[in-house]
Amino acid sequence: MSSQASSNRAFFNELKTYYTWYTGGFIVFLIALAILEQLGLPKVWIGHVFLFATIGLYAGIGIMARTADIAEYYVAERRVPAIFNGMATGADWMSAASFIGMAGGLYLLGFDGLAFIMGWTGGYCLVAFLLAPYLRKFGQFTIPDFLGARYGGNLARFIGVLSTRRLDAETQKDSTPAAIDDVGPTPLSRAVAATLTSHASQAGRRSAQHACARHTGRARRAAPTNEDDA
Amino acid sequence: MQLTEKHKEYWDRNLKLTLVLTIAWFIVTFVMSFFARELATISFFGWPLSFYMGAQGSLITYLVIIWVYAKKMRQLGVEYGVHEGDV
Repeated sequence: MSSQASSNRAFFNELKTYYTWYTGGFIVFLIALAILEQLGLPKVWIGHVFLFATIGLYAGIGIMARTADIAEYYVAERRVPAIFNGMATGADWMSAASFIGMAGGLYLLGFDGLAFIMGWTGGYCLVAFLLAPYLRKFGQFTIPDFLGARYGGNLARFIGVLSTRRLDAETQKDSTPAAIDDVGPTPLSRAVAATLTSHASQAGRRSAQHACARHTGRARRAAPTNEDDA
Repeated sequence: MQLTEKHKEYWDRNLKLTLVLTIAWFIVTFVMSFFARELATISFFGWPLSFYMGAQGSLITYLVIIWVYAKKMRQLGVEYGVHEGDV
């Protein structure tokens, strides 16, 4: 038990080191860009550096932390401490859809657009106390897996896949495109893109991969890990 | 696994907590939205109450709900010896 605890502590410190270096590096990167801007680097270049540096970093983290093990893939072997898991959840919350989509939603819909803002966090509540703990206790990571294990066979699983895909399409259809059409690429939108990307990579190496997978639709709705995942 | 009285008690308390939190969730989500027009006449720090709740108040309540759930469930887990991971 104590060797387990000390290995967890070592892992925690390792994560802390990574994050400190990462944050420091990011600040240096920002300062360097600011200096370059003062020296007269064209705005277009700055935008491109921002975008490709952050995407490259994101991809690099994904490659370094790649895994084929399913428990590792979804919950990083349940080793990631709660505070880092919280950061991952926060990063996911601040994904491009929330930043850009909500701005667009509010712009187009006014008061009704607030439904998206409430749904984003309110839905998390329902997942947190109605779904996630039971998926976790059941040892499954997705709703289709849960249905497959609970009711047996691939038919239940397939229905689960269909309905979650359908729900997903339904929720993403409306929110995102609005703002992008209207605003177009500005320095601000690039900054937002860079922030989002860096947030996502801050979120933890394996968890970030999970967030990335969610956004490309490869993995759906993994059960958020409990508070005691340390 | 044989379920003992203790397990049932744990499950009851789990359900009660979930019920209370779901009701709180329902009030700040559905009631606030459904009666938005009526509630808009109430001023909250200069904002119409329904707008404030949609933009910030409900979200803060959600965070509190999640925090309470995590804290209570951890306590329950420790109390009934079904806790996983570090305390």
